[in-house]
Amino acid sequence: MNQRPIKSIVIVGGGIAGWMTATALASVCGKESCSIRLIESEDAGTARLDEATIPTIQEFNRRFGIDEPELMRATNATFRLGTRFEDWGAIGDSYLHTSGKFGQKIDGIGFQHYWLKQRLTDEAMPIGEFALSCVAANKGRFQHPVDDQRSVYSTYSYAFHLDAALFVNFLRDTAEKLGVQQIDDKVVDVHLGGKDGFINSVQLKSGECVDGELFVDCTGFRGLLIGDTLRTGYEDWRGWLPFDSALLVQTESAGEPLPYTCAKANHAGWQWRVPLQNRVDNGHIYSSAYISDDAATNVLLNSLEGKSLSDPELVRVKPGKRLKTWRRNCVAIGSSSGFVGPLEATGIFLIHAAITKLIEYFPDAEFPAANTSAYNRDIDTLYAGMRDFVILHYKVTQRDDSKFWDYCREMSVPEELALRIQLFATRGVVPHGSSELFNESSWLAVFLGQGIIPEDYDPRVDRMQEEQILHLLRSMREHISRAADAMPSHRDAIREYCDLGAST
Amino acid sequence: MRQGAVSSIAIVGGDISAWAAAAWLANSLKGLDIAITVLELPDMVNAEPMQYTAPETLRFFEPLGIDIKRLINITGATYRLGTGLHRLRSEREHRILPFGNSGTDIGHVHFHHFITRALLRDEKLSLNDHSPTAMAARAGKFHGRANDPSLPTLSYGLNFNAAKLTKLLRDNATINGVGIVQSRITSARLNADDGHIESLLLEDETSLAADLFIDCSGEAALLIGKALEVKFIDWSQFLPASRSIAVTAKTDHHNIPVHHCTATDDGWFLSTPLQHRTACQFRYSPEHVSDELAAAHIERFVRELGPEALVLSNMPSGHRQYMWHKNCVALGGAAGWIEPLDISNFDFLMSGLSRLTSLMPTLAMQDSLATLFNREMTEQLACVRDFGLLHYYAAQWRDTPFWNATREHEKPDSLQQRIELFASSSRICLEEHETFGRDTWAAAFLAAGITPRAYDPLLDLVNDEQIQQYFSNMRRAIQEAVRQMPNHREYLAQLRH
Repeated sequence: MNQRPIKSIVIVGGGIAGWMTATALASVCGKESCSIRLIESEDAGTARLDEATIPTIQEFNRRFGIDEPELMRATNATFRLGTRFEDWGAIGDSYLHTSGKFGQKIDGIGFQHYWLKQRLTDEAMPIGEFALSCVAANKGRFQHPVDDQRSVYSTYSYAFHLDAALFVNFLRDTAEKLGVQQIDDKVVDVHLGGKDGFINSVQLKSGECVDGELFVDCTGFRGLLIGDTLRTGYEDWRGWLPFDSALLVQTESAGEPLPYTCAKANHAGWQWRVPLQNRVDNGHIYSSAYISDDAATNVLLNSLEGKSLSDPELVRVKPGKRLKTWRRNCVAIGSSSGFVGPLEATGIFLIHAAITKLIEYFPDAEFPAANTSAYNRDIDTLYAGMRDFVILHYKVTQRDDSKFWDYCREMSVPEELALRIQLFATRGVVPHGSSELFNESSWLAVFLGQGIIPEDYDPRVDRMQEEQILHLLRSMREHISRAADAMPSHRDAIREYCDLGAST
Repeated sequence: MRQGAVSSIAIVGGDISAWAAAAWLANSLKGLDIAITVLELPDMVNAEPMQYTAPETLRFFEPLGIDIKRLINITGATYRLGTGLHRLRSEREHRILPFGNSGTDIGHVHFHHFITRALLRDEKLSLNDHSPTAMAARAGKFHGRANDPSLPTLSYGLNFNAAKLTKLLRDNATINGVGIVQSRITSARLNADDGHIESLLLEDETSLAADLFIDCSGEAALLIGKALEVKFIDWSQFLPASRSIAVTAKTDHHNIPVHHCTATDDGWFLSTPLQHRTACQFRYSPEHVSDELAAAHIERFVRELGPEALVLSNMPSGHRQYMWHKNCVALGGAAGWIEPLDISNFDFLMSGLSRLTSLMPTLAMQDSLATLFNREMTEQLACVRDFGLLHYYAAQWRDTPFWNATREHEKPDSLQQRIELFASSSRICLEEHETFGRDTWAAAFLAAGITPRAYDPLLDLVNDEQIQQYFSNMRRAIQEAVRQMPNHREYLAQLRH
């Protein structure tokens, strides 16, 4: 028996989601065995909500043959070690969540437990001093991590800030080189097949009809195929993720590019700053229930550090998730599948993760139902994990200066997150499942950064004398501080890396 | 000592679970000034007279300072490379379900798709030909990690005698300061406010108080069940062979370093090769087979019975709704138990202990710690249940009262989904807390006669000639390597020197 492979894939919508999908599928399937077409109307602008990546982007680059120095040059990218959060747990507080580990396990017990014990003494030390990535970020330094597990330079990872519009161009060039065919047109109608309700073809404005076997919906919140056509519902998460609007504005750089994103909370939402090589992209994400668009615009414009280079652009967003992100022969990728906001840079990651899963569960022309269900189950788990981690930032706060924060503080959260908060608050425990993206250090950074100090630490820590712990922690801190000082500045690191393989 | 810290732990039981708990806790809580006492109940026997562990479990011995070589010599253990499955889908079928991986992934395509494609093409290829562990098992060979670095690494667990290991663990615990009280429980005194166990009143009219109680009383579940009234979730509708009769004997499969599981008309015949003889048990459902008939059965399976008496035991598969409740943590049979077709319950016991120490509570007995413990333990047990059920699925074609009854119950949804996914696309979805890896699941699906209708379509994009050549070389290399490995029995003999 021969199984029937899929010979034709149609991606509707471009943007980062569409072009990342096109690049990945083309590189996996190859143009000989499968035609990949992407329908994008030229006037579809790119919302610049997703300009920060997390370290998994390196896997995407490696797997699909993207040269990182080339990517950096093409997108004016900077390195990203994490995010600096300001005014989240309380006004005046700040912390860094980086992709780096705090300290190291001792006798198989998490570092936080030793730190918590030390904290009870007179010489308390900030947790951030035990992660090289935090110390380096604070000093504006960057260096590529190493693989050697014995080195302190192996304790962190990195990602990029990149210009979303240039990233789309870069991906488009890459995909076209791999044989993806771009159709500049608009979909005006969708034709479904007879008994199974599969999508047969899409009708274009020009009159052309494009048929395919697998359709990928990258049309953004609208969900032209998955929603409008296949009537797949959308679960509203605004009760947990209280925002519905974003304002974007570009400014000149006001200094050296920072190796991290800034996320500063305000009365009805928060603002970000994404440093690029040539400018800074700023945004304000808020709930229109708590602040008007005009007032939100003023908040954003009044807080800009550099001279503005563009007029503010308003984008409406819908936090939530499509009930099923794969239905029949249609897979939704990007904000057509769901959205948890730009905090923690989950946008590009969720696209990447959906692509990885689609390849893992790549169908044949039979589209077995069990295969689709398994994909949906994995995606649901992934989304729930991202959602909970983002909710944590809103929920865990002592802020009581506005109705918005009163709401966040008091809101009930998903059961799983409530358990996590309780586990950490009582005993400093961070459960970690094999499929989870954010690791123990990430949860630690946010919990501690937003003011949750566990009531108790692992009792096994009491085996070690206080002086011994103090000595150990001091030397760790010392070692990390020296390692950070030996790193080049972020600006020099960008320059050096971008020069790699450059023709000029 | 910190305020609010647990300062005393009482372990109730007397079989391998109690002493494993005592040894483990004594070692991992050493230096914390926590008094650990075992209330050793008389007449506790090991419900599973032999234990056959998965590879993962061996890591638990190192923290106890128990060297594996010493353990093997003292307990008469043998190495175990997987399970021998016999007469599952037909009376003549014999196959090996190895531990560890087979082949290598082809790009991002998992290796087993290469095999399921071959099956669809009627090519004679098997997963096992690509597994050094399976090939070594078939040839009766074994070599350890330190033996010869040029030979491929094998995945192995152990087969051992439970009574002997119990004694080893008991000695280890007592050397590490664990106290022993020998008596029976007459009643448990619960705190009127929070319902925690305060103390146990004993037959000798003394009482035993502790901050934390560990219930290792086996199926009786004296604390978690009897005192705290946590209900038992019965899975014996899925796994009905709850009764067993055990003997030691000489058998035919003695030299193959696996644990054997044979389907029969009335239940399962299990045999575990130890160094000097083979431990055997016949598992059956009391609804269909009487103990007398079972005793007669087992003699038919073995060549020569050992001198020990027959041991009967009864243990339905299932688990307590909460394995950790109030200030009581149940481990071993008191917490949950699965018919030991593939692996014995020692693995489940050890992962419970490892979880308990990383979630060590204070006197407040935080609910969240118990919630997490219960969730992960139950999920792990359900995965093992589903795995064992696949063997039932394979043998269900028999038209006998025992097998007919097993067909009447629907499979759990979780297993149904796994089967449908594999059958339609060769894919395997792993849960967070699995005991078995992807390749072991693939082997078990195939052993159960589930031949997928399709394989990963991306496999067809890879140059076929190249991968055929690659795996043909791999098969040859494995055969050659296995030839060079020592005989399992010789390897064991050499450990004694």
